[in-house]
Amino acid sequence: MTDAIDQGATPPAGSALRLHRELSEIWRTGPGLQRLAAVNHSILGIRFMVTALAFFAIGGVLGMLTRVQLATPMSAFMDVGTYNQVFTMHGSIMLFLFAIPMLEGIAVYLTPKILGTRDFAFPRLTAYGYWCYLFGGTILTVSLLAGVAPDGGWFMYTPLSSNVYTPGINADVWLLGVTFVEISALTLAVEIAVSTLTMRAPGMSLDRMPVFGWYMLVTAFMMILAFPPLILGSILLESERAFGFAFFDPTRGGDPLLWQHLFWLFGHPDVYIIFLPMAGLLSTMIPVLAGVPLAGYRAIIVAIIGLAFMSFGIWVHHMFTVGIPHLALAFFSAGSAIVAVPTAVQLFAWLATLAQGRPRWNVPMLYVFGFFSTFVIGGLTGVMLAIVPFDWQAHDTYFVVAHFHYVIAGAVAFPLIAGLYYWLPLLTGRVAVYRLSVPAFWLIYIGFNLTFFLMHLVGLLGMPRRINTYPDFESWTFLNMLSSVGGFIMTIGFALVVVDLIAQIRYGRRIRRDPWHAATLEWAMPIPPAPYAFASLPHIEARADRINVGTLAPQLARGEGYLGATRNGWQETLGVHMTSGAPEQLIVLPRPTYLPLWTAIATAAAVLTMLAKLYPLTLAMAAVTAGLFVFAALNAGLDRDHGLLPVGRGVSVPVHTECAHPPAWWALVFTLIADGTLFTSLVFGLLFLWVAAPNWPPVAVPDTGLALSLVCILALAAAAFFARRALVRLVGRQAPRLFIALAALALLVAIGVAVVLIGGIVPRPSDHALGATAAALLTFLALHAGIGLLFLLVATLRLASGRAGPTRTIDLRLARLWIDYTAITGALAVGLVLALPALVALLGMRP
Amino acid sequence: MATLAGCAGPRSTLDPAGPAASTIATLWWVLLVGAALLFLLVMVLFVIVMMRPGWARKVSPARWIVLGGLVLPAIVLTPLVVYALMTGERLLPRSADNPLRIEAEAEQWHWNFTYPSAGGVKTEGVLHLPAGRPIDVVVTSLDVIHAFWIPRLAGKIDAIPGHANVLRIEADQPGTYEGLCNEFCGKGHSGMRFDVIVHPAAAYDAALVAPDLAGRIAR
Amino acid sequence: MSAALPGRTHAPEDPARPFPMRDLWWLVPGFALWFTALSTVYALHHIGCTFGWSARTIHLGLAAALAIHLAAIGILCRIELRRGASRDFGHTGRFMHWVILGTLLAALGKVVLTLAPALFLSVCL
Repeated sequence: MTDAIDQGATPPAGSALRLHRELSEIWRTGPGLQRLAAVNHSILGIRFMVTALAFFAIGGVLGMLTRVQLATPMSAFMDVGTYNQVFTMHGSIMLFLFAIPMLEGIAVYLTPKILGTRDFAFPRLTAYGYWCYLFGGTILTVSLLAGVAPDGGWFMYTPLSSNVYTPGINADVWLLGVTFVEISALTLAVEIAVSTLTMRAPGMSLDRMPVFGWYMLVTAFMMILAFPPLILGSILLESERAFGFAFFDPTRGGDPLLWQHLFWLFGHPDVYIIFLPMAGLLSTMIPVLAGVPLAGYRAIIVAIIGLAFMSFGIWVHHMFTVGIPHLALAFFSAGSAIVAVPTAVQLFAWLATLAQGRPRWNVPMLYVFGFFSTFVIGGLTGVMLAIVPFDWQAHDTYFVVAHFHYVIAGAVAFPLIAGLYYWLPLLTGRVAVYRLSVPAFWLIYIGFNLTFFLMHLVGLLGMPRRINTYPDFESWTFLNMLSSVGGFIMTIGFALVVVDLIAQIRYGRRIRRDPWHAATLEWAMPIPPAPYAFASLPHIEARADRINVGTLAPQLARGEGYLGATRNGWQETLGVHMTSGAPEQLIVLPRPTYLPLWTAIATAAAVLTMLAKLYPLTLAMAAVTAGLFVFAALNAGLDRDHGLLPVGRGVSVPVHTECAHPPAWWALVFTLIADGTLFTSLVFGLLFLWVAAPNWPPVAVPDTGLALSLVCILALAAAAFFARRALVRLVGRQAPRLFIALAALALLVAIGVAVVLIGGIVPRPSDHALGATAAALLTFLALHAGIGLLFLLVATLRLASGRAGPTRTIDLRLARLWIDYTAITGALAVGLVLALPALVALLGMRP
Repeated sequence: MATLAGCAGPRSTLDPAGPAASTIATLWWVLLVGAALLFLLVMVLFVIVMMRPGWARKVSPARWIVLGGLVLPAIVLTPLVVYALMTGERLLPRSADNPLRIEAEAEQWHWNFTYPSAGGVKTEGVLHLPAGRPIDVVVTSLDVIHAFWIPRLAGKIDAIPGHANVLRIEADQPGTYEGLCNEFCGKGHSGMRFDVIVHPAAAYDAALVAPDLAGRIAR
Repeated sequence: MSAALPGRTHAPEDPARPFPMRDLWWLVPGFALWFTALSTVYALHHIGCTFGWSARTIHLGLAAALAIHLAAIGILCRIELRRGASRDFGHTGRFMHWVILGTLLAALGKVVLTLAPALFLSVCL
């Protein structure tokens, strides 16, 4: 199968410089406006981080505004409407536009380098994710300038955020803007998970993966599971606001508590999603700064997996005062206290590492100290708040504000700045000047503790969160003034860090290699990194956080590892077996393209038209977006077979297009896990309303046509069958077209029947939550069947153009997987809708 | 628990004036002492490993992790959770205590109280209580979510439309206390407060029917 | 320095078969069972209160749900212990066995510590 041109990966003949030139030419992103087409992980990673820092500055200014307002009693600095927008946006920006994108930027920039690969699996998706983040963030920020920013608090409790009590577009901006940003976060989560599992340096089995990889892997899966409940909640709330569907309105069988459950099902894991990557940075830096390998590698991995799961089971501790019985609270109280265990395991593993080595006192270490002291305080107040009776007093006071600033701000800001000082030499090729670094640290440290430590006290003295003025109680006034002073000291500290970093970037001494005597792969490359990262990929034979960077880097630069030569102008990297790290496929990555930008613009247009309530236009823009995705799929992959290709070190592997499980396969599997979480949340929502919401049962009894419902389920099953047949025929080198057409027809029938069923729902979705949830379930079905059509369309077009074929079957396999999933969830959805009358009848048994 | 200087204040949870609030205040002081000790322990360990490298090298990493990550939390958390749950149980609104029922209704941005025991008298912005008697406040809302909180008497409970939540409160002594809304509820949130007037138990029934009852809603 | 020395040899240093990909899922069930235990007891208590079951029935129901989950995790522990002894997937296999067993045992402890205390509390209040 192979022909001469494919034999590029012969033993390296040229010098490191020649290889560098060849690879740079292939991997380069053009200058000027062509930068907008960038898909390279180094460029996008930095872009994510810089944008996140810009939003951090905006969020910080908003935080300072609240401190000005609260510095004195009965302040008239801001009116209440403005103040509500300011504190809502402070929280929303810091969490959704700073913390999460920042960790994504770190993941995108560092993960491939630490794992010894050249890029992430889906560079165009990374770029799309970035643009979605930028546009979503911009929409939110502009709304602030226009004075129509969200003003209901960052957790948007309904009914306050419903169209009755917040009639303007303020809440819509939040629901749509944040969902937009979150969908980008979800795409990145899938990408991080797929890349960490399948794209590592050959030989890097899971037990040799640096612990940073484990942190990222666990974080990515947490994002995959945590974002769907909030995305669902936002969609439901927006449909209530826009179309009058009754999900949260207690007068129509909805329940405001459903929003709180969905929000905190996301909101609590979110804290750990933000914290774990920072812990990953610490677990990478501390061993290097102590000069010994990390202690307790396996214990840390068990701890973070435990932490990840645990964080999903304690969301109710945000709801201790909503009237849930004490027995039920006890589960979440004990669970929240026990979170201290995996956290303590990590903390003591770091202490043990420091104890085994000879730690250096330097600027990153100073911030590690800052982290330890703030995080321990935050953790301890966290245990206090887990104690139900104490929370009844402290809930929603400044004690809580103090607690989560210690946990989020302390546990993110200090490791993050430590990481900046640690990795900036890698990014810039210069070492720090360090004149300002130490005073900047102490300003931040003292300012931080002054601001937030006193908030514990003012909270215990009874000051609630989110008030814009307060009466002149002696104790409150004094403490608030000191807090505000602390805030300004901290801000000066942050400003000095910025100046310090700029000084380093501009005037730092140039270096050629790792200044830390580090032992991870990201330093085994030219500094600053070339777009291709590694001139050749290393073979790993021990845990990859014990690398001898000094000897490895020149060998890799000379092309002595895998893929040490260029071929066909391809951007090549290797895909490996998930657990063993044996090379399995040659992954050819896409070149720079404007497509992600255009797709994100179309998506933004859909969001903006939705905000403007121009729903027909929204549909059109959504169709354009879907079309662009189809278009992007058409040119992906390769147009012919290449067979086994040599990748160096005597190994030959197929190109990913000819593999059974290329990264795209796993991406769809993980996407379906996210989608399944969304579906489960919807089912949970229905059952929750059924058992807990007021005004049930509805006056009108639901009665869904059994015959039509069965037709719908059968159509979905038929679609799954035909998709399967089509794939069998394709593999058997027969024309699959007829079966693809039949599958599409079956999906169309399912969509049609679902639409008819939605039209006949009793009670109407705007009359009662029962009808609204039934409509949501059937809409879920129809939407998924519609996306199934797109999968079939892509497969058909690619078969016609020759990009898919008997050996390159991924398109049809993806379509089959999607339709299988649609059939299963669709049958469940229809089954639930059919079971509604029985559920309603059961309610008659209540005493 | 004695009132420490600086802990007093009309809305201070550390200056309790009822059994629930003082139980929780005691809990807080226990938590504070425990937390302070643990914080000191971790910081001392950190300083030692930084300043005296080698000193702690005798302890193997596995022992560090088992002692610090498993044994220490187990010793601290197990009794704490038991103590907390028992405290929680004590604060529950049990009907066996024969409590007085008062209904509290939140509406942007004020509170209405109804006294079924006094023939359905209603007051706005002022809650009248008898001293030394357990009271169940049935809390609900007519619009958005609010929270009912009298910091010196007890913890808080949310006022949620469509739900009726019960909070057990009790005041030790007659006097005036402050109550407030503790869940963000829109533009009037900061000012959404109420007065709590605690009467001597013997004078309570008479006070409720007195024509000059503070906060009475004219009918 | 044992790290990567590219070039030279490509003799597999670990002759064992690779640890099967699908067995990665074994990282999930321990804690997932903790989560279903939590959801089950939470839902059961709520449903019991809604439909007016007696305190005794509710307590028994919760205890039964807990026992079933503990048994399930216990069975998984046994299976994993046996598999660890009978299969050889080299260093990756030993590592995964340790981690999987760690998650299962941690989950077992977690079910007991987080869910059992509530069984002694009064219901629906």
